[in-house]
Amino acid sequence: MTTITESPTEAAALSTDGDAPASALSSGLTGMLTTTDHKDVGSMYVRMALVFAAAITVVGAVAGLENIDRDSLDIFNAASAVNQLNWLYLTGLATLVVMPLLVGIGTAVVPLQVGSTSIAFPRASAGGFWTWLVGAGAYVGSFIVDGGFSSGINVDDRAVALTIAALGVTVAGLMLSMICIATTVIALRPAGMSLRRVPLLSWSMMIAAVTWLMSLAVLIADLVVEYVALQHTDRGVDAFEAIAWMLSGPQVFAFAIPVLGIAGDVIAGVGGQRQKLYDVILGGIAAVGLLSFGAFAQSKYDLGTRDVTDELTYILVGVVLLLPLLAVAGGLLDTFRLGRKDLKAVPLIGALAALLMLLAGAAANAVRVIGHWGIIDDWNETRIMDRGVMHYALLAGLIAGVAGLYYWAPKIFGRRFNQGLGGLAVLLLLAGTVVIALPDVIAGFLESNDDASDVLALISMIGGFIVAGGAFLALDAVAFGLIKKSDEVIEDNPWGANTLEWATTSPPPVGNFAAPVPLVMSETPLLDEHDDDAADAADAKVDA
Amino acid sequence: MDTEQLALPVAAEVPRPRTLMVATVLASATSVMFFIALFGIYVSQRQQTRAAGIEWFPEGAIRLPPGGMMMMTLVLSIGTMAWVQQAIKNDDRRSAIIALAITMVFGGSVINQTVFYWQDMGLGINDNPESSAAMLMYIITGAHMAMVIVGLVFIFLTALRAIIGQYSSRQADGIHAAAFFWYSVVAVYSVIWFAIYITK
Repeated sequence: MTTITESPTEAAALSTDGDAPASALSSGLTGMLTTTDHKDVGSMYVRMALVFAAAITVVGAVAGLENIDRDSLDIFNAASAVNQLNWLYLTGLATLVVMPLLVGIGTAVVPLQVGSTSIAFPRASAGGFWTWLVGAGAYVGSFIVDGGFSSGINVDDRAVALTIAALGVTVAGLMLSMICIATTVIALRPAGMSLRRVPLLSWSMMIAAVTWLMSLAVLIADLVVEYVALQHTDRGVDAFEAIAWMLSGPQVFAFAIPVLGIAGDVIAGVGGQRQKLYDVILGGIAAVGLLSFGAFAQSKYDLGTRDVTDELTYILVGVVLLLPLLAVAGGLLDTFRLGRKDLKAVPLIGALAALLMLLAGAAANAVRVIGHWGIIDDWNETRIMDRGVMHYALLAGLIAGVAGLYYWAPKIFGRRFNQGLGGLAVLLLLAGTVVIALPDVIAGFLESNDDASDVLALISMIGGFIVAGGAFLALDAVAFGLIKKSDEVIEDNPWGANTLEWATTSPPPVGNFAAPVPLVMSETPLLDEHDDDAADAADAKVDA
Repeated sequence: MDTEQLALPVAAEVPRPRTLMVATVLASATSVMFFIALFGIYVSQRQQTRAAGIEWFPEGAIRLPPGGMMMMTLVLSIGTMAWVQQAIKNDDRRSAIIALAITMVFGGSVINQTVFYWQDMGLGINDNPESSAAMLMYIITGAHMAMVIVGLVFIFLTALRAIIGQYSSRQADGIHAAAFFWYSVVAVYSVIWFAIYITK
């Protein structure tokens, strides 16, 4: 058990077994730049992702103002400015907020969950973070200097080239970090921990890594083609059209795969339960990974006059994706039903909310792809529905990220955060997600000149501001939690959870485990310990 | 719960983790997927361009012999890479180092041939604005050349480690990882050879 006596950095700097610093971040800028400790790298990822979350959601809310009346561009008085805001918001929500937030949690927690002393290739993992951060900075900067995704329309082509290149660098950084996470799960597990016994977060991160690597490689290829076309040919480019598939179903659900792992671990952990039908849950998450690979659904692969998105495969994938999600959600909710229902616990509220939003998004996506057969004829209206589905999936990722941060805060930061602020942040994010996404899904069924469309756009815009409020509160909660001095005693296992990360101290020492990792005989090694103790007590009673 | 309270038996030592091999497989699969995406664009664009009655490549711009020569060079490098693996399996580190060096010569030769053919064919990337054939050809072959360079760096580092005596029949993960990546380099080129040099 660790006592937090001084500033968080000092507290984090002390391991429980001696004087070795637990966090290189306590050494200031030098420590930050040179650290290869996965907990530090994960911590930096989530901090930066939350900063971007607050900024990007404001950009989205401001851009939403224009959608109230799409026929006039009188707010910004320039089509390019509106496009730039929308591009930055839509791509930024995925690559600057949700993906790095989940990668950060994975980087910090997965090695602990699989009982490893370190992440695989710690320097590469840190390199992935810095690559992402430099790319993200250049990406935001490119929009400031009038960049974007389309050449020729009141934008500077050199800045457009910077936008395209910076997005590629940003994504490459995330891919590098994901290779490290997946390698950790595959190669650094302790004896007894077969893949069937891997905790759900680690499993979902491994599945997400494979799906992301396969699909983001396609994104990089698209960006390379657009970059070369822009720089070396006379053709204009519309790079956003080339990468729009990553913000649409089914691909957008790939970015939310870790939501299932976070929800699974949180629900079982807070509930103190063993997850039933564990193999089914693992299989369901793997199926979501397989079905959410959406890189094939892009206009570049259209053959002849028929769009890829009109093909039967695309429609079937969109519908079938709902089934494993329902199976996983059903299994997790059954565990919730049987366990402790601490509905004041921010992680639990967040996990349930994220799961609900993900299901709503998958249902909306199923309706959308079926709609390709005639319900939705107009391309723009389909795009509106795409945006609704995207918001459901990505904001589910943001909510799950906040839930995960609250759940694993003792391990990542060595402290716990304010429950009231966190609860409010999660509720605002939940409400904002519904208010921003549902109107867009409904608007997909309406004619674009329908008066109701403008009302729905107004409601959606309000949802954007609510989401921004939730993101700000989440950032505040974490920032205040890290800044304030506290003498709170952080328990090693405050939730009474049963996976390996809770067998070490809070915060974990350098090397993660002061004592040798216990033999893993199930997916809940710490619950086995309790069961063994109970069995020993029962035997002793019988003997007596 | 304190760590000291845990009374579970301590886990046994696990075999040496194959982190490098796992990461190499993931990185190779990612690289292959990158090329699959480029080939998808190439085939799709080619079909659309030809359907519109527009010439894809100018007549005679792409000739089979240079592509075939590069293919043959890479096929030979498969043999030398297999030689490396077999040599280290027999604890014959000297032969492994020689075979790695020959593989690097083959790799360097492929880079040389690629650059020579780019200059020899004299095809401008923007010569025909109606066809993206030249642009895609340069992107695909250029990206493959980058992959060859990465493979050569990997082999070079592996050779250095072999020279200082790091690999043996019981610990040859780095050798097998380098070989796996190199095989994926050759596999990608075989598709380039078929798609660009044979079917054009």
